[in-house]
Amino acid sequence: MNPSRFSLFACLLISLLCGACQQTQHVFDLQRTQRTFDAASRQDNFVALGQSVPSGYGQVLSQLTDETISALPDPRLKANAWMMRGVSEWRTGDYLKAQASAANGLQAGPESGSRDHLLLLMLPALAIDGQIFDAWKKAGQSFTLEQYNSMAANDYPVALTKLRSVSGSSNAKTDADTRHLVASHQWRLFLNWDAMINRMTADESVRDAAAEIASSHFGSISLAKQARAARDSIRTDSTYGKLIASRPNGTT
Amino acid sequence: MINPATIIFAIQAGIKLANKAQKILIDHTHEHAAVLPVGDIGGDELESDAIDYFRDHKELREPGAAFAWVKTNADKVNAYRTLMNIEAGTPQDALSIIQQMKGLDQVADGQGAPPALQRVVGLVAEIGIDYFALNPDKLGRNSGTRQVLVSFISNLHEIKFSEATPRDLLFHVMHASLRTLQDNVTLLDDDRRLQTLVGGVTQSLLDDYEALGSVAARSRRGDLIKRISSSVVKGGAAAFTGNIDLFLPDDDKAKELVKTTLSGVITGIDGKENLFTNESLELLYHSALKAVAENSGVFSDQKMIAALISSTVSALSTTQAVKVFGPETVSAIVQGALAAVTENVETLIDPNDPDKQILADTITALANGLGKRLAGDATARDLLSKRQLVELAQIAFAEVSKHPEQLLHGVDDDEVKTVLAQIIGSTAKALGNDPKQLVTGEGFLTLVEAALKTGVLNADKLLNLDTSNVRDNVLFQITQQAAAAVIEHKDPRRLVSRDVFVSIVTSILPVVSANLEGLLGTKLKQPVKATITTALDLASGDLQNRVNGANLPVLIEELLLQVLQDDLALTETAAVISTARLILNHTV
Repeated sequence: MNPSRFSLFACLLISLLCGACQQTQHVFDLQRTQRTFDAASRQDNFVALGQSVPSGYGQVLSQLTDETISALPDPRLKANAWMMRGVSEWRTGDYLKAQASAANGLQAGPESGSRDHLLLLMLPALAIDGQIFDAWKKAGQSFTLEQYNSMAANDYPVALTKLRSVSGSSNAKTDADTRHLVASHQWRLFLNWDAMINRMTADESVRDAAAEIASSHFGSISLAKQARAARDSIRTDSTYGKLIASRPNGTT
Repeated sequence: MINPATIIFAIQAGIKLANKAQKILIDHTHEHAAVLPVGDIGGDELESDAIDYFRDHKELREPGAAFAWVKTNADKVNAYRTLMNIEAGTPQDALSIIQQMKGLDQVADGQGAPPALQRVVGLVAEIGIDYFALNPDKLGRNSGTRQVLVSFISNLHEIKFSEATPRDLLFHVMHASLRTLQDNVTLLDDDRRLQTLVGGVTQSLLDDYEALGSVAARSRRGDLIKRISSSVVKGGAAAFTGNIDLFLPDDDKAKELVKTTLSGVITGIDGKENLFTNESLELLYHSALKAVAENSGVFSDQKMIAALISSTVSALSTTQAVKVFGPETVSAIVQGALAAVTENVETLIDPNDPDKQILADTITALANGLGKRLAGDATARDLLSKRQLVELAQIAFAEVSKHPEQLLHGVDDDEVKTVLAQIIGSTAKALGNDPKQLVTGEGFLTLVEAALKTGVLNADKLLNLDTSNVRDNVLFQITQQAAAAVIEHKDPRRLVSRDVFVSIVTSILPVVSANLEGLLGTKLKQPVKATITTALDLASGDLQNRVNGANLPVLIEELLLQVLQDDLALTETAAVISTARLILNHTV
């Protein structure tokens, strides 16, 4: 081989090697973000139990920019990054961005039936619930009929229809805990919606009428019974089964 | 000067390895178990259920009804508790559940990338780079080494690797394949046969290792694999190249056959590995492959071949068998057993009764028949070399293959009383205190073979199976009388060499067997001894110029026939001489 051509070839190969190293660095970065995300989720779950801890989602969001996600060398990793970004946006109240991240994540090509795939499918429903829940909290956990009709009455049917359709995307690859996660969110959303009706500042007959309308979206089966059905689909010895059972009034 | 091709190869290998490593990293990152938020829960199950209940049962709250007092949500919850007999819940520790909450797996168990295999593939690449760095000349596109490596790697995906697969195990199996097969032109010319052999051996060695649960068992098996991997590849290659018609590449079962046979061999020698050298294991695997390939219908799985080997090894490991055969003959005798099975599977293996191990029983009967001593102080090992001991076992296997029911039929399940043990014992113990005086090792084997052939055809008359004392047997008496006659006669011409003695006994056995009435009813107390003595007298007396070592056995045989049939009285000397002359006239 001509020495100059050999040098050129060697340089080309070495640059290929370096390129591979850079791509690997992006994967390592994502691993770091995964750890940050896990910590943030743990903190979030403590907050849900009334514990006061700082949120770590901001750090996740700062690490998962459009650029860092597009630099990842594998579509499944991109979907994973979009999932973490979408969940972080949902939990920090940036619901519209969460919805967009879910769409981007699905576009990236998650592995069918995987945890990330199902979460990306669920995110719009979770974002809708988050948006309504924030408004409900702001209203002192008691909507007026007008407030209820302006958001929950129309948006929960959309959210829960989406959420119930997610189960159809599970397959042999879907882990049992992921199936339980989907069911636990159904349980949670039905229960939240029912609470918003039951605690509405309105006459009982108005609340009963709202409940009847709500059930009409699901075969005239009440929200309480829908929640119960979702709960019953979760194994009691699973993490989500135990968590539901740990609710103060949730033992029957 | 540095060879550019070597550098390019190193870079290529590096890139390949980097790509592989990155793929592993990506899979690992993708499958990270993520902790996820549970979300906000504003509802209360009990409250929902209570309100739902009273929506369904409005009659319960009608004026005058039992629950007319129920007005608020709190009232409904209390009333519902009473109605449903629900006690106040004892909430579990939600905090601890959250604390212990594990991450959610990306996919279900077994659905993700096989991490162990990924790791193993990386290791193989690494080992390959090391190997070719030291042997750059073997990297040619058409080199045998490359073909073997391709075969090895192609089969890795079928092995159930665990995280605990040691690197050195892979190294040994891979190197064994490379070292042993790189120059095997016959196999290298046939890519699919090469794949079958390498794949079967690799899968067997590594799969069986992975299936072991205990650390100690894995440690032992790991040591064994390191020791024998080259031998089994060699044995397999020999079986493949020597039996082209048996391992057809289009036969889907060929690889499975290679795999299950090796598993069977290793299971069969389990715990007795030290009795087998690398060379003997090579031959053992070769023999086993041949046996299984020729009888694949019978050896449908590894259990049959494993049972055959382990039972034969166990039979050879009993105290009595060790005294007779010694540990150094075990591998050769097991090979002999496999060879016997190859040719006689229909009589030696009963697929419906896999516990019945005819060849192991043969060993036991043989060991019991030979006893601690042949006669006097001599032992079988004093008379027979190791090779002859193996040959003795093979003779027994061959005869048992033909007559398993007759030779191994025991009385009261006493193995000493089997026909085989009785015949062997009768022959061995009839030779006097110093058997070497009468027979060589080879001669003894000839005697045993003749005794087996004669004995099996007339066992109930020649043997007394009701006793374990072989001295009661007619077969013993015939040989013993012959031995006594030769030992006691001065034989001044030294005609009865060891070979002639063996010829005498082998020729008179069928004669006596067919004329037992004469033996038992004759006026002579010991007609065999008397006839041989008379013949020896003639050979050194009146007929000394007519009798030699070659025609002496014929003379004895013919004289004995007439004596037993009462046609000749040994006391009538003239008649005896005349008869002898007549016999010799007809003998060349």
